[in-house]
Amino acid sequence: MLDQAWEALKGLEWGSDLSPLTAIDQAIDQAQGNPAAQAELEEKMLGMLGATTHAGRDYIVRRLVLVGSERSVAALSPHLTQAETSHQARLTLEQLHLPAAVEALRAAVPAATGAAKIGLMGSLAKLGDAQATALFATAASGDDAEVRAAAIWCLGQIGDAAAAAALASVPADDQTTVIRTDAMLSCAERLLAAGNPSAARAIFSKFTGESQPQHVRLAANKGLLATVRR
Amino acid sequence: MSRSEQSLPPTPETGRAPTAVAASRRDFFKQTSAAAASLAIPYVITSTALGNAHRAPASDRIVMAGIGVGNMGAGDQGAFLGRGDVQYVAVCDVRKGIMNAAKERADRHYQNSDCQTYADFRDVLARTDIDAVHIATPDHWHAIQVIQACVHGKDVYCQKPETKTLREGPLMVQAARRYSRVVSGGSQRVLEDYRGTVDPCWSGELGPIKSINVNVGPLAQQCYLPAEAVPDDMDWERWLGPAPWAPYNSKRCDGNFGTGGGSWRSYSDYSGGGMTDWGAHHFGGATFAIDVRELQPEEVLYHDDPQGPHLTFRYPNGILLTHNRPGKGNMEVEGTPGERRDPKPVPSYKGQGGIYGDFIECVKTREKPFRDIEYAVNSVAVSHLGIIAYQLKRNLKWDAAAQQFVDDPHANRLLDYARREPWLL
Repeated sequence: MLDQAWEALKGLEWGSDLSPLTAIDQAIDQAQGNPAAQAELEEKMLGMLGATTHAGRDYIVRRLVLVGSERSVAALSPHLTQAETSHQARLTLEQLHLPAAVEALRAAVPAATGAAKIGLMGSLAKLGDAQATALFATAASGDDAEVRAAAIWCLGQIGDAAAAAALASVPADDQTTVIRTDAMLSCAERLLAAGNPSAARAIFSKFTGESQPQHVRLAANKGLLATVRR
Repeated sequence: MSRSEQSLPPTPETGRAPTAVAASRRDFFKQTSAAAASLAIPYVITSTALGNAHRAPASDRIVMAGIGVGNMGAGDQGAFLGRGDVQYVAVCDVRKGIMNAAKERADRHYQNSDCQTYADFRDVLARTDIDAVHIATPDHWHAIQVIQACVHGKDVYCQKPETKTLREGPLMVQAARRYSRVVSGGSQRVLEDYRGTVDPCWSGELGPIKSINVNVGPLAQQCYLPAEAVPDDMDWERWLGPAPWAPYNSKRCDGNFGTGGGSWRSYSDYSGGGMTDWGAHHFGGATFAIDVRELQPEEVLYHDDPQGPHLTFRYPNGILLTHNRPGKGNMEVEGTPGERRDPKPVPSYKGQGGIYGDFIECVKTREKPFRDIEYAVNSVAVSHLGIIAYQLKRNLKWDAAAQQFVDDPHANRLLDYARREPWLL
């Protein structure tokens, strides 16, 4: 049954009958808690990555979330910088929560451009990779307005003192006012939560003026109050 | 306001310039009134602007827009349009036909042609004159749109199920709280459908509650429907948004209410299936009845029963919520026979007009709505925890404070998914 399933997976197209693939899902279920069985399934699927269709890769990267390991990191990393495959690779790598996956995502950022770069940075920010702060800072000052805005958002997600400093050094421009404000407030909240009320206070204070939108002033004043309470 | 500033998260699109107006409606009234006064000449304010017994004056109306205005979005639009304290000014949808139909509804209601149309929700959020939005897009869009609405200072009414994954919930609550926004979930059934269960629990007549059962399903399935030609009036890339790329198929994106196939509610990239779609109602009602809306379960037990798999959720206070327990009816409560508890008043909507009126009243008073986003997130979390337990076919321990499964890295891989670039969350 499993052999037939692998054969079906090789030719999987959008619209194909999925019932032959049930054996793969059953094998994945049975492999829970059995690293050797999981490794066997992982190897098999990784070996098929280059031989299957877009739909087949879609099927595989979702199953690798369940059985993937450092082997998946090595196999999927080369796909991270290519626009056509970057998201499929991230579907697995982002969710593995493995240090090797984080390193692979980080290593791919400099070579990636446009949307793929945004996706990689977003994954790293979501995973809280403070080591990516320098990459975000560079991208936040780059030429691509979309990448720049994404990098600013990512710095806000990291939200430590280094990220706050990087955000402060990014040249202000009209194109990123809203996203920058949100990122700064995010930094301030995280700094406060991390026990650094003075740094948080310095940021919140910048957003209490009458020129700020009301909801931003509310956020800043609430934050300021919280720094006093601590 | 520039394209990039609206872009939260950013996109590589370099399409049309935003059509949003720069000045707020209140600024406009302020400026025109001042100008008229300074000229000291008579001027006319229409009865529409002044309001009447059924309609608030324009300056007191909540200015609203709709994002996702087909199916439930159309119903939501109708409810808000019917309110005299709302001025409905814009609609947004990735399908032109649906968008135009929604505009026609608004224009017909106001007997003008003022309702603006948008294909990109970020253009709506960039309008500084809009106070609040209602969102009824497919579930995979909710978190991004709710959070960005908060970032742009809008209050939000978001259809249920409010979240697509466990990770999304706390981020939505965080955005609402950061910006002091009123964010209401959109399940009217939680309060309105289950009073027969809720009232005896809150009145104390059942004594201390031991358990409640919910029957709902099915789970969503993966979708490999064949490619079809994308209709001319649809922006397919924007419909998919953060979801993995897949070819257009009319059944993949159909908004009908089925969860057994042939609608986006059936497919796991866009929905949790019946487990979240009806689950938002049923689990919402159950958690309300047993008064655990502020909590999330700490444990999920998977029962591999010959009669069919089922679950038991254990709350930190010891109350059990079971799912599809054999022999138990939906919303069936087990109390403590022979005992009574002190009665508590049953929370209800504020204002007039059901859950929509509750939202609008809270927009005015800045109170928390009945289905505040935090309650909504907690109840839909039950669905998500259940989905993961069914997927892994085993017990789970959940640390609600950390939003992590305890010592369970494989389960933690299922807390979320990687969003398709350039969408960030």
